[in-house]
Amino acid sequence: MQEALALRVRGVVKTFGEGPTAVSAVKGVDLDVHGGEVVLIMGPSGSGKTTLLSIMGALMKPTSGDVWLGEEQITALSETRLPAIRLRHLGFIFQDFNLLSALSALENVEIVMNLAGGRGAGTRRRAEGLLSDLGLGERLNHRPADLSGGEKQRVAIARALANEPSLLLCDEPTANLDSKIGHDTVLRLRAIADEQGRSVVIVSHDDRIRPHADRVLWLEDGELGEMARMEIDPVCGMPIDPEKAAATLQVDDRTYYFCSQGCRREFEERLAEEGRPPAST
Amino acid sequence: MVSLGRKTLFEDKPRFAMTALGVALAIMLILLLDGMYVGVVRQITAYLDAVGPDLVVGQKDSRNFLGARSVVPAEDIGAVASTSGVRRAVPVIVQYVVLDLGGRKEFSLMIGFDRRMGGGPWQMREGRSLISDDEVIFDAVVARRHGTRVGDRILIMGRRLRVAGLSGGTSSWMTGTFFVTYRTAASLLSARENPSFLLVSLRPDVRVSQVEARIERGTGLSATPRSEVDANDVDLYARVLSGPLKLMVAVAFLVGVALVGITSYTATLERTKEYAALKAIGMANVRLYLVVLEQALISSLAGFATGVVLAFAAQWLLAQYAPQFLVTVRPVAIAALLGTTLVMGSLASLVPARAVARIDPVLAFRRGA
Amino acid sequence: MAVNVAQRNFFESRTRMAVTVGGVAFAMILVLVLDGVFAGAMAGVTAYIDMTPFDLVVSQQGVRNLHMTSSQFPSADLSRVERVPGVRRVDSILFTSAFLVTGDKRSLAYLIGYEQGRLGAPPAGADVPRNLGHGEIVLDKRIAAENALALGDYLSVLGRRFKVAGFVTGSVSITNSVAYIRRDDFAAATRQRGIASFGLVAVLPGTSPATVEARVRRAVPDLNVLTKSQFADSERRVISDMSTEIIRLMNLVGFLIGLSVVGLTTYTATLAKLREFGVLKALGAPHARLLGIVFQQAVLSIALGLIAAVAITLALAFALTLADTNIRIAVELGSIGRLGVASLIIAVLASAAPMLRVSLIEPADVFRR
Repeated sequence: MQEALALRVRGVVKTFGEGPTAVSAVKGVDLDVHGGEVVLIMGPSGSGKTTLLSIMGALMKPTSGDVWLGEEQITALSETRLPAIRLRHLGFIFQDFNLLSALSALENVEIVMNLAGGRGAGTRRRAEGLLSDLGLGERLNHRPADLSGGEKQRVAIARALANEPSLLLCDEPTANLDSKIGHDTVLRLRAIADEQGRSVVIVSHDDRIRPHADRVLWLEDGELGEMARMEIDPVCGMPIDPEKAAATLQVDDRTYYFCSQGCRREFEERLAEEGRPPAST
Repeated sequence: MVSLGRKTLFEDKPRFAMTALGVALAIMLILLLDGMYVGVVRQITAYLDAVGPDLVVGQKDSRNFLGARSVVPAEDIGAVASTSGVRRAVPVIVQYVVLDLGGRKEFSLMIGFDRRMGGGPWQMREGRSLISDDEVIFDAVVARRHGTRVGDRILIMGRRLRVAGLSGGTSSWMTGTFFVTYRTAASLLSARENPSFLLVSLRPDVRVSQVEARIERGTGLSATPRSEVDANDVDLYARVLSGPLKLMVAVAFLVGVALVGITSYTATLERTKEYAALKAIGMANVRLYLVVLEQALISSLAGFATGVVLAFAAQWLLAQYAPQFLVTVRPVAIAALLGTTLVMGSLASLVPARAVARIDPVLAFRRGA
Repeated sequence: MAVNVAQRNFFESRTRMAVTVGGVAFAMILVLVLDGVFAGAMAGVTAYIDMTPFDLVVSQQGVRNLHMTSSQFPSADLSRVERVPGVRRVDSILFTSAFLVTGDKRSLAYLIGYEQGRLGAPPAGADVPRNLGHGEIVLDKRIAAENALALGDYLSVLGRRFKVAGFVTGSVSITNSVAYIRRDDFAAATRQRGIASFGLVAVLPGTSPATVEARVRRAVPDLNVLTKSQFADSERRVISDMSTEIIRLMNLVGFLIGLSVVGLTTYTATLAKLREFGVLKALGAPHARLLGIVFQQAVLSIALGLIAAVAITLALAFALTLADTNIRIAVELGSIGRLGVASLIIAVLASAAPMLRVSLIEPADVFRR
């Protein structure tokens, strides 16, 4: 079910530095995210994913371009208004969880509600409810040091949902979890999108998320493209944009795409071992 | 409302304890210094406050009791005593002497008084009052320091005098006071029978200033109200201490700021990633600064409370083992110090303030601790 | 070893370093200032003795000091001293503590009654008149300035008016200064005839004062005889004996404060780098080396703090000479040396807890997130 646009990104460019040493982390990205949609953004390290996430999350201003969160054009707002926007409209889930070690699970969620003005028993009950829904009813008073990776991630999710945001931004949510827990996490995020109508943008290397996303995008060298047309490097497994492949190899009727000359060489060596002669480049 | 400041502060209990203890020492020092100053002032005026004259009559231009020599001609005693409004004029001989006791120099105040007229010790710890001219009433604290007992003989300016009794309330960290008969003092000082001062008590219904003027006109001597003499004596001696004391109080304050500052700063740096995440989630800089301020204030106030307790403990210890250091920890000083402690904590929180402001929320996305 | 980890860690954060060094410095300034104020006070205490030429001093039995004491004996007794072999000349002075009064202002002074051309006279100088007249006085230039007195102005002392006729310099201490009038004026004002306070003795060139002292003592067994240096020592001891306990008390507090500052800062600095220590352990760094890093951190803090403290105290001492106060700070090498030793002890003690913490690190923890 597609609802109103939760996030709209238009022509966003982010350049760091000036002159000959300038680096363009993001080069003219356009993106629409609808309500209840799960969008997965993949891409090699250093491709600008974190930068893009920061810009979408009102943590960084782009060099040029605009971003709308719902009705708010966040790129037009002054710095001082952004924290309040983030507090009420966004939820963040970090790779390292970033829970406050001195606070219990319950307090980690409660404090975010406090920041938005919530106080007292009612607020605490809401926090308890969020955690219980995520299966942490017995772990409310435990500190992060006493929680497993999966439990910590669930606390982080509860925290992200504390102020009923329209958009969740997730940075490598499964990277520090084992495969089963990671899978569970993705399912939860999916459920949040479906049942609560919230949009979820996930930035990740994790291929296993792909089947659960409504859309899979590829960010490379600061440019965003649809993943559907990606090929996979047979040696390292990286998704490659065929038009931008560093190296290619034709074997029989098939064209292979590689991330680098190194991978291609290795592939050629494997073929030689198998006794299959390499063909033309 | 989750108290982030308090929770993060108590997470590292040893560090919190060390900070509080350091601040406590600084607070204790300040209270002791203040108390010592008050004690010194009290000790300086102890004799006159105990004897309680309305006017102190001395040689012309003399407005102090301690410090400078004063000689009142014996023939003027009668004139002063018979001045209208005067009830009593007690002659005393006052002189600083340095005693060599047990290899240590004891800077002492000798008071020669007439037993019939008064002006002698006001508190006896042991023994009895003076009977004969070869006796002395010695300060109990100084006596204890040198193991001197009632019945022992002390060498004072070449004369061996027998300790008849030990007095209380007569010592300070600078001097101890001892009492001899008027005649003994006169002979030790070759002063003939001229007193140093006449301690004058007035009839209840008279105006002090009037009698003062009468005495000065009639005899050419100086007559000064006791409060003024006390103030002048305090001014002379306490002045020696007040400069260094104020300096030390200032330094103790700065030490407190540094201690709380370093803890706040370190605690903030350790949580950079957490605070970055909070900022990303939407916590404004101001709120985060308040968290830091809360930590600094809690540390400071914990140190303050401990310091007050330590100060009273020290005051008690000193009274037991070194009573010449009269320390009076004053409630008004404690109240003032409470305000100062809040200032201390606030200043200390400025140390990490800039670091807090500069935390980039994007750091929350960084991998690794 | 090539890379000094401790140094790198220490200088990494300027704020942390500033607060650490600052805290340590303040604690040490406490101690240095205290020591310095008393050393400064001591320097002033022997002003008259230092600036007056003589070899031996004769005083009333039992009086071995100048400070605030009273010494009186028949001046005729000094004729016996004159006859002692080795004595070149003997001159007597009258001495008392007295207030110099100008209007409302009062300054305490050692008042010397001397005879022209004899021992005990003010040191010859541009501002000292060759022949002091009746009713004239020589006082310290600073005191004159403080009381707005110029040549020819009048002040009051011993109940009489005196005209300012000359100045000396360098006689000012915390509590008083030195002033000179004619011996006969002094005797008349105090109605003392035939009395001397002190007899100043000069020995023949080539004779040892100590030898002559023994002879003089035999000649006047009922009086006190000291060499100039013994007299000066005795004088200094009055102050030092009076203040030893309080200085020790303050030094102890300063030590404890310094310990808590260095302890706290070393501990927090170590905690901040705990992960890195773990990595070094995992990489195979010997245990002793890690402890050495911790210890070096403490030593660096305290060494820099000590340097800063000495520098600031010296600056303060200099500033005080310019300010309108008689408090002086004399920073002595002994004081710095003692502080250095205490610092080393502090460094060792303060490293204990952090060293323990480092020892407990499990190298495998380095892989934990």
